Amino acid sequence: MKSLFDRLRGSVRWRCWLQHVLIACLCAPVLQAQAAMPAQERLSIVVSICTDPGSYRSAMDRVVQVVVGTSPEDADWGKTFLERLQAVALICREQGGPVFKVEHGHVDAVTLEPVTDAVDELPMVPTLVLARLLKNSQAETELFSPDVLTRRAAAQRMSQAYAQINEPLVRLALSKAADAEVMETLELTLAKRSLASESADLRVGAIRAMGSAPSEGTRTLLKNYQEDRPDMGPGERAALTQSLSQINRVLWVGKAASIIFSGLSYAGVLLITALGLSIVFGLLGVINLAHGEFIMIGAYATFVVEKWLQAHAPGWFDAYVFLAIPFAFVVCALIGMVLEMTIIRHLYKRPLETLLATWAVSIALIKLVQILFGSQNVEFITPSFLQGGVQLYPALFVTWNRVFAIALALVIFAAAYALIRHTRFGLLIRATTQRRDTARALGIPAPSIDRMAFGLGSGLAGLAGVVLTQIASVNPSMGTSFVIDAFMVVVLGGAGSLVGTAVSSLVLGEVNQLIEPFYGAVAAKVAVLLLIVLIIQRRPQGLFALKTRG
Amino acid sequence: MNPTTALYINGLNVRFGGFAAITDLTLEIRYGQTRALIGPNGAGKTTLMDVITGKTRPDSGEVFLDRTLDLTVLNEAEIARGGIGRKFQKPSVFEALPVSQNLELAVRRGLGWSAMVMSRLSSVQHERIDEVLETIGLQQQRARKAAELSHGQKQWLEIGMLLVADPKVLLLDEPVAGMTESESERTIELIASLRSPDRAIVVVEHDMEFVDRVADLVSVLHEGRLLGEGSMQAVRTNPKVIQVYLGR
Amino acid sequence: MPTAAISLRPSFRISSQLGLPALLVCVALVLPLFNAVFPPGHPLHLSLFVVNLVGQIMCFALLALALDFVWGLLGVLSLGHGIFFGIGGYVMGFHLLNSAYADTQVLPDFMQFMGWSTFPAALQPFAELPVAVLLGLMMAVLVGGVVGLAAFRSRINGVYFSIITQALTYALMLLLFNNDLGLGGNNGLTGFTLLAGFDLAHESTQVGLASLSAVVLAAVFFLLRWLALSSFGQAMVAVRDDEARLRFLGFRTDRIKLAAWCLSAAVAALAGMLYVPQVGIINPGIVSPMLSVEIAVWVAIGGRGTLIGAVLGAVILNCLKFWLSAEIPSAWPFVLAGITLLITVALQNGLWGGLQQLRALRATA
Repeated sequence: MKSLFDRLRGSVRWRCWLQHVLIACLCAPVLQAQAAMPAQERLSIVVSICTDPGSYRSAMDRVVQVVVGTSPEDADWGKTFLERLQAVALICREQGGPVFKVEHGHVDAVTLEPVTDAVDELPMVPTLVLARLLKNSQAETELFSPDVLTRRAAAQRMSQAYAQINEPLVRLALSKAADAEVMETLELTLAKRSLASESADLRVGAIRAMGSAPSEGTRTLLKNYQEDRPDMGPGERAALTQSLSQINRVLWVGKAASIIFSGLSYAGVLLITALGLSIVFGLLGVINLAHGEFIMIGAYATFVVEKWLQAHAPGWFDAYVFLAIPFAFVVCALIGMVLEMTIIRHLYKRPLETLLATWAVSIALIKLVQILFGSQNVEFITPSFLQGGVQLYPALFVTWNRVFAIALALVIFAAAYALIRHTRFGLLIRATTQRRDTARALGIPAPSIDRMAFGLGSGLAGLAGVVLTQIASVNPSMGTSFVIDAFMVVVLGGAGSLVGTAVSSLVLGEVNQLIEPFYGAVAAKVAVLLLIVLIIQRRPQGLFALKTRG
Repeated sequence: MNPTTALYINGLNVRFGGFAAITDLTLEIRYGQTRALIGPNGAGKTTLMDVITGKTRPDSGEVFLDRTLDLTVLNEAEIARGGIGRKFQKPSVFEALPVSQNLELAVRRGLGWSAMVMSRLSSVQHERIDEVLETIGLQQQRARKAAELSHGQKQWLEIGMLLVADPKVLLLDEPVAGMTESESERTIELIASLRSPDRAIVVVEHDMEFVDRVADLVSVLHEGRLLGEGSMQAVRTNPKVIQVYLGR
Repeated sequence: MPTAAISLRPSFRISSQLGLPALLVCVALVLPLFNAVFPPGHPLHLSLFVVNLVGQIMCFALLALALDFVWGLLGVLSLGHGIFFGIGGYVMGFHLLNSAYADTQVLPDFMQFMGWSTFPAALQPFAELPVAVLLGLMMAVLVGGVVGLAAFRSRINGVYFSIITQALTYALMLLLFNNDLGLGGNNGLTGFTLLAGFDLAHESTQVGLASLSAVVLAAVFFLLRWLALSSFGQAMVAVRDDEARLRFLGFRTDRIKLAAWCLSAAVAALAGMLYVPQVGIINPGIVSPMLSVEIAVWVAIGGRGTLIGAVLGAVILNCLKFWLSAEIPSAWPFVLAGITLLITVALQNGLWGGLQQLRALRATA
């Protein structure tokens, strides 16, 4: 079988998938064959353990195969066997067959039926060799556990004991891994095994294979290998260099893509936030410092929906995000309109006073939420359809919740764009923004438009909060830092311009994500500020402002 | 250029994006003259003033004060100190300050680092302020806040603020806009009295009677170009001007 | 009969009468001394706690003055004066760390956590008090200068400028929170013992500091008032009301703004320097965006553009804050929000400005 593996090895990831599936199909019949005679098989295994130390290894392998490839009953038996053996509870009787000692007596080691006759022999104590084999076998069975954390831990143990692994078994586990971390660890294990091989050809083959299956793990492995073996042959060295450069290239691309991707999700939320702000500032000239708190209220509204569904309609739980969208929008829009009616209206054309007044509202809102919900982070349970992710490319693991955030942001932007550009309401808003007096002269009720636009802007902020619940932490002061970024977006993109907001949130989101991991959050903020100052110098109204001449 | 040329503008071109505000404009204004700039809205009159005072940079062309001072490279403060005073369409005075302090600020023509804190005005400056107050007729109001003046009074105050600096060139953008009959009359007298051999006055106005009484020469602008130039009489009978501006 | 116009703009009304300011100065100077002059138990005795509070409020009043100078008079709303307050405070903190080390020979906790065994060379220039004060003022002016230059040259004004100052404040706060920079991290700088040879724990030192704060407040108040009534002050008001007009009269308005801005930064830093020895600690929270907006609220409530209003606002609000935080802590944000809303919607000229207008109305009626 080894040569078959050799030939099939050495391809890019998707071919690896195929390869593992093929091997699984090949292994399966072999393993399935075991199911044919369970009882005799079990007895024979137990007897080997009891009597023949030389057969420990093969007996253990057989147990594992029983656990892995046969019916659930046999799998249970196998696990029980391993567990009892390790618990020093296997009693090999001279007469009557082996038994397990259990809590209230004994059971037959083959049938697991209770045994009534008295047992006075002592249990068998596993030798060091057997103990070690036991541990490996346990790990091997745990490779197939339904719990992903158990699988990961087992894979790690495999990786450490790479020299003794049962290769076909590991490949089978790989094909059933269904988790990026497990897959990566197991592949590394197989690679390490090959690297330790006696045959130079095998090693070269392994090195080449790792070159085409790049990951952080393979890179580290090859680098260590390079240091540990200064005396390798020229062919091997050449393969090593080539593989390393291949891996470095691929990882670099993956890393870059990963950064861009996470920048996208951040930009998406920034976009929705800045959109609301831009509408309000472009129309009313109002700098709403409480905008961040609307985001926060939207997030907490989502929390309320989540908890309510959990308590009253658990079957619908996974849909809580979708239900929260209209809920948060309405709540925030209403609060926004109330705010406009009671306070903002009186501060028309006085931007600095508006700034202070909205700041006052924001501190009151933060305190109110703190009193109602406490000031610590609020945990959200990711809906089942958003958990996990997919490894699109080495070093680029795309999580579903971020993809969802991006998709949601785009949908909301599209809806807002359609509203502003293609509906009558949007037309009224645009008219009042550009030429307020003319609009009023035409009979457009500017005050009502103001109120509804403010509501729209606040509602959009609430939606941003809903999206944020899936990708960031939620607490009463989450809005403050976010709103500063959103204002930067509006300043850069030009108040009132939808396209400008979109472009500048993309730019600022990416700049933030590109700089922050390397130079820290401070540098990122300062860089964004510098960028804005530079651009404002050339175009004081922002990149795409709605303003006309002069 | 003539030795008595105050403002020399040659081949001026100003574009805002796709819009050509001024195209190939050549104009010469001499000391002792009062020139009126007329033309429909959007003809480029205010843009021309913006260029002269440094608020807008032209795309090409020359703008000189006194043949030597290149106005296209200086900033607004430097141009103002160079002797060009501009009165805006909307009366722009310092509302929170009293009339006298408005003039005190204007007479300094800027603050040097030492003058900032050592604030005594010289007696010459004080006399000048008194003179100007009399010229614009606001002696009684010298202690009142500028915010409390009438619309016409604010316009005069603004002219006064320019006068205390003894400007070589006065640019007046619609000085009688929004004024009553009597206020306009007084303004006409005021501007007429400002004529001096060391001073050039440029007035932008729509009120033809005002232009007739105040200006020596009239330049007509249309869509950024110079349409015609001459005395009021000549311009009135210029067929091109009639067609474009007077609409008949 | 002419009716007095209720101007919607803040009125530039620095009264040339010295009555009220002089009175307040006397009160401020005398108050801390009540602790020393009257024995405990006497009805006029002020406990050390109260004296310390008075001293702190003096520092905040100084900070409010700095902001009013640049907002009420020049028309530039900075929501980042916490930056300069923080610079002054941290520099004083460096100095106090030096003197504490010279006194006790024990390194501060945060340095020990970082594994340092000797006092860092970077902090040694702050060992002498006059040098430290000078350095602090210079640093504040430098930072202010850079920000001002960039902003005023680019003609960034109004709310855009305010938002940018908030962003800068946030960035500085993040920087100071960083535990790896050796600036104390989120615990800040503490463990002070001596200031200019005086033991900080001693009652008389604290009384002295409170009195010093009052003296500095008075001195700066009169300095700024003198400037406001001078031609420079005139120019500042002109910039506020119509910067373009002033420019077209020949004034280099960006220089005027820069000068006033740098002076304001220095005053704010001075306030920080006086504040730190009285509270015994400086931490990044002082540079939070929220506190910087609060300063503007003090000025707005007191009455912007009047200088005395800034002091009044700072005093009233901070007394209220200290009192409420002790009694009903969760009520303070609501009270502050309520007062702010009231002032911005109904009383635009603040308390002092409102008083002035009332007096003006009564005079004409």
